[in-house]
Amino acid sequence: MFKRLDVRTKILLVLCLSTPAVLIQDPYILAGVLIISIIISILLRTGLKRVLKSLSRIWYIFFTLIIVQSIFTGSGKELLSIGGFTLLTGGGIIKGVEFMLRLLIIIVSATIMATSNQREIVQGLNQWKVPYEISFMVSIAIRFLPMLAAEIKNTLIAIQLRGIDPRKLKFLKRMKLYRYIFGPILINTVKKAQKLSIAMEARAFRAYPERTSYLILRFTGIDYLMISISLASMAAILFIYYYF
Amino acid sequence: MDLSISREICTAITGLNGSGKTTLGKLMTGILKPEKGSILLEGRDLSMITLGQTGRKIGYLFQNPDLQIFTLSVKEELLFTHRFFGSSDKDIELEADRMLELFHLSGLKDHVPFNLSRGERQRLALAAVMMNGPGYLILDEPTTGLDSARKKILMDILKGQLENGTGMSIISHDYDFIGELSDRIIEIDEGKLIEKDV
Repeated sequence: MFKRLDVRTKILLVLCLSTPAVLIQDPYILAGVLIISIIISILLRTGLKRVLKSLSRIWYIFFTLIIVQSIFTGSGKELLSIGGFTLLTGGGIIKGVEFMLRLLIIIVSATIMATSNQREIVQGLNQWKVPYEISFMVSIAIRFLPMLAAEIKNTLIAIQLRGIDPRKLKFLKRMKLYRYIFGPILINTVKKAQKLSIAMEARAFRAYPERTSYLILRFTGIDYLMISISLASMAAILFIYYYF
Repeated sequence: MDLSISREICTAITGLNGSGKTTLGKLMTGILKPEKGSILLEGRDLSMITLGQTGRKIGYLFQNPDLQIFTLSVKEELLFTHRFFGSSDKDIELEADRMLELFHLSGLKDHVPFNLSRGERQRLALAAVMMNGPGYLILDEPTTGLDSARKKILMDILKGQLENGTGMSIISHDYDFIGELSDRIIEIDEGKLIEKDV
């Protein structure tokens, strides 16, 4: 049933989950929103387990972000200091946890969009009167993401095959290594974008101002129900946060 | 599949598109893990060895050279691994110059690798792999994008490596190229290995 949701309903769902994530600064409510996101993601069979498994490989980045957040937003009770310099505070840790919850909500809710194909997303945005150029850019970004992920993985493999073992490197060396990984990926992405724009021009992209479409999306009862529940839930969460 | 490859000779792996040549090469390096069975490198199970450790023994040339170019100058690319570990050994610098000469890249040593032609990037990727002094090479379609003159240069380089005792596996469709270099030719056909006459 949930699998058949219109892509526009899914976009609204994602917005209803990510908006509180950005506005709310309360770890308990954020944790609640994260649980709701996870439940919806499971109902939609987004392959969340696989995404979380991939994220587990970069847990140390999350951990570092919490510490960095904690250092720069020092408030509350001091928990750890070195030579008079406060490293960890109670308030800082809470801010760090909030940041991580926010990030997880956005990642989990983004998996909902992965259940629709690129063509449906473009069409959904078009039917919302979003200019085709913009919706096309969105679809290209979605199409390029898995390629980008594969490229990062392959580059990391190639670096290891040059005799470098990232897991055995110290933190600073590892950061230096990432510079070597992302440099070529950035250059290759720009080159790909250039080639793509030439191919699009060659296929007469935007030759006519009006576009017709074979695929026409239509809302069904379940879409109206889900949209109503999502908007009402978001309004309720924001109301609780701001007035209680 | 049951296959044993000697480190002293040149083994060619050939077959139709999609037959699994690249997959076999990636299994041999440990990039891919077998679902069943095991792969041994010098008697040790490859699944027990990290890619970093394998990389010190086996040099792998990807089909797409862009995947293994990381720096912003040709010479820096050759020195990448050594510089990464902080080595400023003069001998390494001399070895890099020798490699540039060997691969006809001396005139391009300060160029940005990403602006080179595909053939030049292919040669650079191979030169960078060989800078590590691997005992064995696995080359995936090494002649792609090379003209006949460059193929001849590559062939001479690989013959030199074989004479120096560095064995290799070449994954290729280029029968003229592998015919001249290989001591053994294996064809993959519908998942089966067929030994071909050299």
